[in-house]
Amino acid sequence: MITTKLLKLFTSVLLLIFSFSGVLYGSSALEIMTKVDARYTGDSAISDWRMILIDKKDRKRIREIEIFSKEYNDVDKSISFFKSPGDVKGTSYMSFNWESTSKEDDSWLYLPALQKVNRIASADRSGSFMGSDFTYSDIDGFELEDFNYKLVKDSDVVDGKDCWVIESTPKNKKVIAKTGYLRSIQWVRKDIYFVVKNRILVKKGKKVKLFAAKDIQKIDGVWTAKTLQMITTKNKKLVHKSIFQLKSVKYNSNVEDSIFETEVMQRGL
Amino acid sequence: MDFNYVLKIFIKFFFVTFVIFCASISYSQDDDFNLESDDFDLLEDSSFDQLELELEKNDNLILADENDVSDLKKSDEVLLSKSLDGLSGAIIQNFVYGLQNPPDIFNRNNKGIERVETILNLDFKGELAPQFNFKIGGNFRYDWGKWKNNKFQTNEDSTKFNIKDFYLDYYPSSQIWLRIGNQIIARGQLDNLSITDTINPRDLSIPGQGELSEIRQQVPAILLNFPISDLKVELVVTSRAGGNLMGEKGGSFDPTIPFSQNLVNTGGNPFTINYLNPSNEIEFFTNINYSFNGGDISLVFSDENQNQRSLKNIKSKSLLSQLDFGFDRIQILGISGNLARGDFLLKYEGANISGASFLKANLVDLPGLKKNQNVLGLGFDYSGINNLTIGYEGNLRIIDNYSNDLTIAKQTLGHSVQFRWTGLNDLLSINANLSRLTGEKSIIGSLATSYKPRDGLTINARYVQYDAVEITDTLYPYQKQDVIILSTEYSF
Repeated sequence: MITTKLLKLFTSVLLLIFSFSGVLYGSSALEIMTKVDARYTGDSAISDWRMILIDKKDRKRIREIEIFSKEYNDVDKSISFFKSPGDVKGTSYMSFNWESTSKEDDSWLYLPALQKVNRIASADRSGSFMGSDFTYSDIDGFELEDFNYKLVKDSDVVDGKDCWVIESTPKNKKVIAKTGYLRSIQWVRKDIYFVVKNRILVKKGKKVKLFAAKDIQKIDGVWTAKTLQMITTKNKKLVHKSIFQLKSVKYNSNVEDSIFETEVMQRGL
Repeated sequence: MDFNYVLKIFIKFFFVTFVIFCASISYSQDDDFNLESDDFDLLEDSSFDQLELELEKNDNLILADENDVSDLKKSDEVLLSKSLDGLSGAIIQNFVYGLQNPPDIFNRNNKGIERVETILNLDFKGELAPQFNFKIGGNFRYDWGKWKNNKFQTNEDSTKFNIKDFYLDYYPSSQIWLRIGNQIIARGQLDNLSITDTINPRDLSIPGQGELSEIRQQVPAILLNFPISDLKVELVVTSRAGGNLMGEKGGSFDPTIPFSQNLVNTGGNPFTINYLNPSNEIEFFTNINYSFNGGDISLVFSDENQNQRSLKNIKSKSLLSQLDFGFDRIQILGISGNLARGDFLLKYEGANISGASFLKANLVDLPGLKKNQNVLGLGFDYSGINNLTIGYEGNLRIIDNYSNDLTIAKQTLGHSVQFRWTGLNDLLSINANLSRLTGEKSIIGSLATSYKPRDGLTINARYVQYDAVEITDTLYPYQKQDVIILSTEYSF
């Protein structure tokens, strides 16, 4: 599910958008985003990612991550293991994202230097995920009902594909505090209900983040973006950018329930 | 009097924390808000289109590079994954400079280089067979010199080798985990206080100067972890775990200095320190953990040798006295847990400890008195401010059946406050820490910064200050040991 998560996250990044309270150009923004949210992303997944962090001087840092994820009726679970470079190798992160809004998400971080698993306060999900431009919120996904959606353009072309353009705004301060997002505009591919592009206005530092999903392919019956980019800008200038490259993914594979335990974080794979 | 003052501070601090906690929850429930902002038009600015196009070109180049690299190295990667994938390590270069002039009883009695050391850490992790994994790790440490005859002598260099992690993992099923060997078993919730986190002795030879990751010391142990319904049970047996590491004789934190300063009457004789072995080398620990949405709770039972040795006996032999330090056999019944709410992570630990002995006011009246004690630790991490985490830990120790002839007060308090800030996409971090030792006015303060100029390379700087008020404070003899530490670490 982290694949599912990353994908969902990215799907969720996707999710930020629209509403024009009603029907416009055929489909309402909420209907579109509901379909984006409901898009099949696999019941479980095992994936390998390469995370490339690039600063404004074009200096690169590369991390390799393996992610296991699984969807349950009431919760989405994911656990990710950092495999390189040496200074983050062995680090693992696990999160449970509960369907019920009355439950706060659970997350834990294992740092090999301390050899200890620590629970993380989860309300503020707007912090950087392992130094990247993606936030924990991006990784864990958003709740559809946390935003108002508005269709702002019925047709726009991205990478040769026709898209809806949808704006999303958080419904309350709690959502802003949690996600760090003030507003976003998303491009949703009409043929597969996939968010391929997103512009996000961020609360912290009044920055604008630019998201793009590329190299979209159908793998094991699931539409999957093999490249995900998040670029942070301030005053329309590059601050930092992150690229997630999907190296491999296996959907609906046998992800055992027992992998989502803090002991697994300690002992590793 | 002093206790009441500290207790008031303690209570006020928690009151303020509680108010912030409630306010934070209240704020997060507020649904009335106005999202009007001039910045909203930013997203529709067409100049972003151009920016996106330019960045996309650049990213395509980067991704092409990465693919090339991975293709070229594909065959090598296969080999590496079989052989060296489990190898990791770090080369650390430390330079420590003493800022003050300590008394002549220390080797370093002037400001100057305290130590220069190079450390090579190596770890190898691999699979012996299905369900059997292993890890072996250790470090080589080269000291470039030491203080002798009132100056830092580079011809006094030395090399040490230490085995660190060295264990075998066995998983008879996906839910049962057995680990045998030299290992760290870090439990409990509080970082700076070890109320229920007592399996591993600690390195106290240079308090405040080491990273938290370097403080716990590996012990030979068998760990068995298995579930019973929703509970996770952990049984640990250790053998010859030893005690907390103390400073070297003549070093900056030489533990014999207080005795040298006539805090113990040895009849005026010079003395030697003798560490006694415990009567029982085997220690037992049980941890029963339950995790629920928003928190964890653990019950802890142990029968162990207290990691901090205590003075057991003073033997006078003509012109030489011998101070015998040994272990108290203690039993701990404790609880630890956490609660995540909003931006707060509340942490707590509590324990009833029996079997520990305490020195009497007349220090040569040995052995000390054995008393039960109750220890409560509370703490929180608050992460509601941009990139900043504020942490607090406090502990209160109360001795049962207190008698007035003890050196220690009936109730003692300790505090620790920490500020951690990270920025520049985790490239830069700044960490400030203030710790007031339990039952004392001694304070260790530190300010540290860390920067990563490239993957694997970290540059660190740290300033550490020691303050003590009362002559009976543990840190009193060491208050002229403030240092600046510069270090680089290359991980691979």
